[in-house]
Amino acid sequence: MLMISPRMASGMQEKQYTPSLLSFFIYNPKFGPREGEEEKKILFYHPIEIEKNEKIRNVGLCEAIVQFTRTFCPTKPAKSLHTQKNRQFFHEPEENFWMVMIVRNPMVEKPNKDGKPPTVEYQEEEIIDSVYGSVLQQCYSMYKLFNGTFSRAFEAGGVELLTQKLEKFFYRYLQTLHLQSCDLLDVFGGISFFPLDKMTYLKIQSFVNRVEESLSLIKYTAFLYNDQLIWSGLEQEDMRILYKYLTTSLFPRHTEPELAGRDSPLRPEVAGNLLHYGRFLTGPANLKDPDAKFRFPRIFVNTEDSYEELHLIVYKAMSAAVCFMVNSAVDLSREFCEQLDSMVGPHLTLLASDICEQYNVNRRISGPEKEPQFKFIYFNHMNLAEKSTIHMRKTASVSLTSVHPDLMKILGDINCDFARVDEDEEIIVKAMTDYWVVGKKSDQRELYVILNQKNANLIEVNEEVKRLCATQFNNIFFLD
Amino acid sequence: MDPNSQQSGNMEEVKIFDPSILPPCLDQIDLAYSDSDVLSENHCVNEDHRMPSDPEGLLDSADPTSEESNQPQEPSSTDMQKLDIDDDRPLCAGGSETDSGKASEDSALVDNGQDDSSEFVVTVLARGKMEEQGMGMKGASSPLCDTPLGPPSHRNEDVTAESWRQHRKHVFVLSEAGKPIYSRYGSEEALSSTMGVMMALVSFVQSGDNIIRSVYSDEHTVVFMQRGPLVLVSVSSSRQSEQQLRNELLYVYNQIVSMLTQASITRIFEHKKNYDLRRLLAGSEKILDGLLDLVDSDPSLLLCAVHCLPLASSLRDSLSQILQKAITPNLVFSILIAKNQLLTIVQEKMVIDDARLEPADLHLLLNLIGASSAFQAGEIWTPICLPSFNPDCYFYAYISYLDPPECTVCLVLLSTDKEAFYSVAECKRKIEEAMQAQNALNAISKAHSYSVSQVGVSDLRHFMYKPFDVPDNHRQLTQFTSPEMEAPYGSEEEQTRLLDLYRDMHSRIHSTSRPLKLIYHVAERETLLAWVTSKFELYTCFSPLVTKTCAINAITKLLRWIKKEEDRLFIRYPPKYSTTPNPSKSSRDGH
Amino acid sequence: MSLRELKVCLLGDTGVGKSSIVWRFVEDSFDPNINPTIGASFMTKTVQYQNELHKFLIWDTAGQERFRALAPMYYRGSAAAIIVYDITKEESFQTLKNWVKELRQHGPPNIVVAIAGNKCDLSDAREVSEKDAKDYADSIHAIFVETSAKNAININEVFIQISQRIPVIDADGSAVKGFKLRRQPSESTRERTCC
Repeated sequence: MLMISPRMASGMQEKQYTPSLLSFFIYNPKFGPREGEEEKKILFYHPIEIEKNEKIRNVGLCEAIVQFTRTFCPTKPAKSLHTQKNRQFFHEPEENFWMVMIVRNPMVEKPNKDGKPPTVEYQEEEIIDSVYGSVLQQCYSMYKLFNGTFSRAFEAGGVELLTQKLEKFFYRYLQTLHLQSCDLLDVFGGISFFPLDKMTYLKIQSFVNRVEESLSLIKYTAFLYNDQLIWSGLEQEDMRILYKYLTTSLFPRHTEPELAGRDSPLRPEVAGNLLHYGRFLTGPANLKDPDAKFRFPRIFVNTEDSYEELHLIVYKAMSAAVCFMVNSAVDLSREFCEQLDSMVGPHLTLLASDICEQYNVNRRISGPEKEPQFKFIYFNHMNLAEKSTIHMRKTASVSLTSVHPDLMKILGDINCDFARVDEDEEIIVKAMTDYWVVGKKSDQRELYVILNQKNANLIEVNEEVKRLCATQFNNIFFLD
Repeated sequence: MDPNSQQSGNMEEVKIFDPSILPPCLDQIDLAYSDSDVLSENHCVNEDHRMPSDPEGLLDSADPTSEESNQPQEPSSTDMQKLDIDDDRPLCAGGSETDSGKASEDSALVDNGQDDSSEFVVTVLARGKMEEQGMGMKGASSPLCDTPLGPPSHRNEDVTAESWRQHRKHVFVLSEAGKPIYSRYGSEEALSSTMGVMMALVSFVQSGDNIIRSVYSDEHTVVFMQRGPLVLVSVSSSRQSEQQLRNELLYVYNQIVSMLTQASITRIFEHKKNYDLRRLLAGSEKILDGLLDLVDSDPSLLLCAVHCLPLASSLRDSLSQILQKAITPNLVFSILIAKNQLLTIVQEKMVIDDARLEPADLHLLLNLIGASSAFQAGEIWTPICLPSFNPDCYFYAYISYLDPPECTVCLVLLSTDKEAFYSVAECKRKIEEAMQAQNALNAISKAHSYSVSQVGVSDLRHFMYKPFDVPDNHRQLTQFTSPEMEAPYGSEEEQTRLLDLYRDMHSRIHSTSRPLKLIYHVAERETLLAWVTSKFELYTCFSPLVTKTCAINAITKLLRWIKKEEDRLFIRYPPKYSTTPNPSKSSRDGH
Repeated sequence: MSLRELKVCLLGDTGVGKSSIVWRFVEDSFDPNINPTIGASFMTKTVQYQNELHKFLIWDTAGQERFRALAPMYYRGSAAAIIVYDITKEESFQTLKNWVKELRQHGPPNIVVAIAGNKCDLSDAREVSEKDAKDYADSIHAIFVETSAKNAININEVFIQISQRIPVIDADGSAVKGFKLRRQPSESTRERTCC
């Protein structure tokens, strides 16, 4: 992506290019071990227009790099390759299956006088490995959520089936990657939890229990409100990737019809059923139409042990969304959906307005929050809870942060430092712009605070953060 | 004299330096190419005998004209030996092949262009042939291949052993042709395959109009650096930043330049891409080993500054005066070192007008001395190049210890005249006499590093302080001060760990893309603070439970103490002398 | 007693033991882990020879190839050259022959040449026979000794023999010049009288 930044008064401008995807491929060296068979190794390659020999060369380089690093540590081979122009990330999600993502380094194009071609300067220190490495890992997780593992596909239908699935999935998924705005949150891949009082939480829990009792086909349930998680019956890792899918892909596609204007095309969806606001986000878009065909997306969970394939039913009423997961062997009929709709619809609608009311009450009580004053990011490794007051909107398409990207990179650096040791640590830095960044790690939790207090000294900064921790985090962070 | 010419390659204008820019070794190389000199030709053959695992050597002397071909090299891991002889491939294809299947491919290699050969290389590598062939053991089993020089330190280490892999930092130096030049651990022979792979990776990325920088894995960082015809690779589990590792490789490169000069290296490889630089570096492995040990254990290389021995300024001044008076034409630097730290350095006025002796050069010089301390009763006279000063010409260094047999006080006099030994030695005698008259050696023996307790701050465990605002800043040798490392950093392991922590902070503070002004790091075993201002750079280490208030107070006290002691801790006003340049008596005269 | 200064240089392949020989001669000690010499090392030792004091000004040169071209600086003006080889390494003997050629072509015409076959304590690993070496030394009228710096064998011998062969200074203080000053052609057989 190109961003123009006017720099020179002369009217000639420097052009700043952000990181972008150069190529992405998946290979398995065992599929083409002999001379002349190299092409067979390649299971997926983007961009597809690349000439065959060049694909083979690029894959060969990755193999060579991985092999070379095995010389020094056979069990922990290469994770990334840095070159002047790009970065290559390697990930082996399943034995012998390798995924490689090549990202072009950000660069600056400086115009030259006298009609000479502009000089290109690559910025080699901008991309943080942990961030983009996480993005690559997430590519696999997302694929696996909807397609199961590579090895199972290979077992079921050989290379043909596998390549088909990869092509179908990645062709679309890669288009959703927005590499110019990846940051620390991609490393965490966390889940935003909706803050609830105990009463309401119990109501939700009992609701889920009742539905699961009545509709015994339902294996797992997850309950979200406003893009935030409240309850999940899935394993953590599965919920994590499902959450990402829901909040960055599914939900943004279905804005609330009841919030739409009178003339909005979304309006008709609501017509006819004034008993509740519930509707299916996956599956039947319009229950009224008996001829309309529908299907539910299939997801794969617990791939490490029980390996389950499930239908994903996402049902929403106002701001509350519930996911019901049913064994995919079951054929979900229209009758089932109608049953679900009539049972869940009204209850969920009530529950949604309850939650809304309770939330407003809580806000009134706690008063104007001090939160917005503090720019911070919080993450808890144990439950994956994440909170950021820096990101204004985080969807697949854009991540707007209220701080300079360089500061986000500093956060990324501190996170890397924390990852090196298990013990609790604190790192405070003062940037060249005089912003202060405070990073705290305590007992599986990480907190990053950015302070724009140029004339503050270390002691004052410490006091500020102490105050934040006291109000927001109940002093769970060890402070001096 | 045009001071700018000192830095440019324009040798003609440089009067004060040794106009005989031709470094000693280059004469030898040139002779090797002409058939007229019996001596060197024989010498060539001798060398080849010494490296029997290098088949090219035999063909080399048999067919000197083949050197002229500029066929590009694409060595592969398995076929390292064969691809080495790219110049002579038509002669050897189908010759001593270990894998018959390869023979035809090799000739195919010759016919096809560079792209195809790199494709071949990569597919060969990718098939893990290297693993099948036992990772670079080729040549190691050869009974003829034993290191003829030096004690069998880690040169003969088994490179397939886990212990070899476990080394904290490997450094490899190879030529663009993939020929091994140096390896810190293990012999170059045993590692020629591995080095071949490295070169293949460099070439492959290069062929895509790109430059390889580094490879990261969980345990290691591999950093590549190319300088002229040499490729240097560091494989480190020290978790240092890429920039730092690359700076360390630059030190290694510069140490090689200090022995051969950059001009020679360039010329040698221009003339002969296949040249085995080990011929010229034989016996110098210890010097490079020593440098890498220093890199890990001595913060002066990290800070790019010189550590001075704390000394009463009156004593230091009198020593400087002694050096200032003992001069001779063409003498440019007089350096006095005690206990591996700088006592004083006196510089020639004209030489230093716009240029100055860089700490990096001094580190290289000190390392060279440290690696050659065997002959402590003698006086050494050796050519040495100071790469940051001028990478293409030699100084001549006179090195002598003033206090045998303890040998802790070393005098180094640098001249531009290679014939000047006797007059420079005379300077030493004058210096010796004057020092004896003042009983200087006795006073020096009493000088030593200080303990951090002298600062009088309880929580402070250690620090490193490097000032920027010094008198005559642009002419000054950058210095730093630091106390002894004491408990809990008494063991080598703990000292390395502390230095690693400093190194981490240094790399963050000096990051090229997002530098910082201050880092405060509270960890389990210590609390560290690093701080850069326009006036100084400071690294401090406290006990882990120190409060921020205490730390800040401690630093204030420390800065005050340093200011009070600065005359003792630093060379404040580097003295100068003037020696009228003589037309240099060099090999131009012939003999 | 009169004092004479005799400039002597040591030449030879790297690792043959030049520094060890000098170290043994000057300090009477031996370091098995001695570092390769860089450049050249200068030491002096004064011994009594008959009724004179001979002060040897010894240039111990580095044998590494990169220092080769500096050698002329040291052998030029030397009264004697001790060329050292390692009896356990045939190549070092070949190198020695090259040094002899070089001295003949470029060295001072009067120079006394001594050939020292060092490491004679390692006779089990011998590659150069004493006879061959002695024959060669005789053919060029050079002193020949097999030495061991490690075990202090024949080290002083070398220097004594050099003292013996150095030309006597006659009454007017000039050395007797017993040779023609023209350079010796490299290929011709020489009538080289003993220095």
